[in-house]
Amino acid sequence: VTASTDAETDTRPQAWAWAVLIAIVAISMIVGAVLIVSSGETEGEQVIITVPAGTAARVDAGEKVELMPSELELTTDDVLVIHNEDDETAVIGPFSVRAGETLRHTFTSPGRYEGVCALNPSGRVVITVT
Amino acid sequence: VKRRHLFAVLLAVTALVTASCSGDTASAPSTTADPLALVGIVRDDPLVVRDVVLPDVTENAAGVPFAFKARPGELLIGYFGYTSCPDVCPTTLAHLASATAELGGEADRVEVAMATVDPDRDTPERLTGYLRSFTDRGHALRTTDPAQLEEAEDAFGAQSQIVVDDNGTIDVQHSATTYVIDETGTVLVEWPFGVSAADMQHDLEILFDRENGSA
Repeated sequence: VTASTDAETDTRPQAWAWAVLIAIVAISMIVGAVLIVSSGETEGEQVIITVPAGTAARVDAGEKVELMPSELELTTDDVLVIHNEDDETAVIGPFSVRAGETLRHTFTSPGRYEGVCALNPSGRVVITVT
Repeated sequence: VKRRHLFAVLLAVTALVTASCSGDTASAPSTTADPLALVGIVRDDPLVVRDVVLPDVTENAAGVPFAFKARPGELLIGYFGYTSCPDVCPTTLAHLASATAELGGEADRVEVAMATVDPDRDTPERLTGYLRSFTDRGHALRTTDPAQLEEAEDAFGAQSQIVVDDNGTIDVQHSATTYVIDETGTVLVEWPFGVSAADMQHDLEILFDRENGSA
């Protein structure tokens, strides 16, 4: 009887130590997952547009460049990234991107954005966010 | 006994984690964006427009110099448009008026500066009257110097062009972005045409919360 009682006394603290440790790990995982979602780190797809050096000069010379479609269909949380490697401001619909600038925009709401765009032959672009 | 306890604990924790993860996935909204993020365009290297000056014809038709920066503790909304605009300008200004009205007490901390891209038709009286139909905290900006207007537009990344065809029909093409400017003349956020009144209100509330130190 005495031996059995000693065994119980030795093992119970170890089991609860394991339980506490595992519970801490589990709670940390849950809290981490919630923080990632609530902090908005979850992004949609990334659409990257690069305006190469010399593009404005080509357009000014009358050349019809085709660097992007005239219509872009995106969903909320999608990220539009525009790298302007040219030495002049690039206008892509509502986005005016200075020479050498990288503009990153996350669409958080549905909407329709339209405007001039010299990066396709139509001269315009429509961005639809659903 | 030891193994039985350990197994039970592991089983319970596994179930807890599984339930939590599957619950997140099932109940996640279609939009997971940060509610404190601004809807409009925010640049890593923001536009700075405090040196842009245009004549303010609101009170004096001759114009007094107006610099694009907000009063201390306020926000200034900058916009390039024209009063004959059939759709884009009135829609934008109506959205802005609606958004501002919903701010409550903060509405008195917002001013609007509208620069006309069509100064020939937008006389000082016409421009001022038009702007006042949307806000009583407005600055009507008008220059008859094309170079001065272009310089101002360039600072914002805005564009405009007026084409008169053979029949005398006037076609005004212009970018339609709205700019929210702080007291240092820094553009905090840009709203492309199409941003709703609710989203404008959302952004203004966040900017004022930041100003007040509560966000």
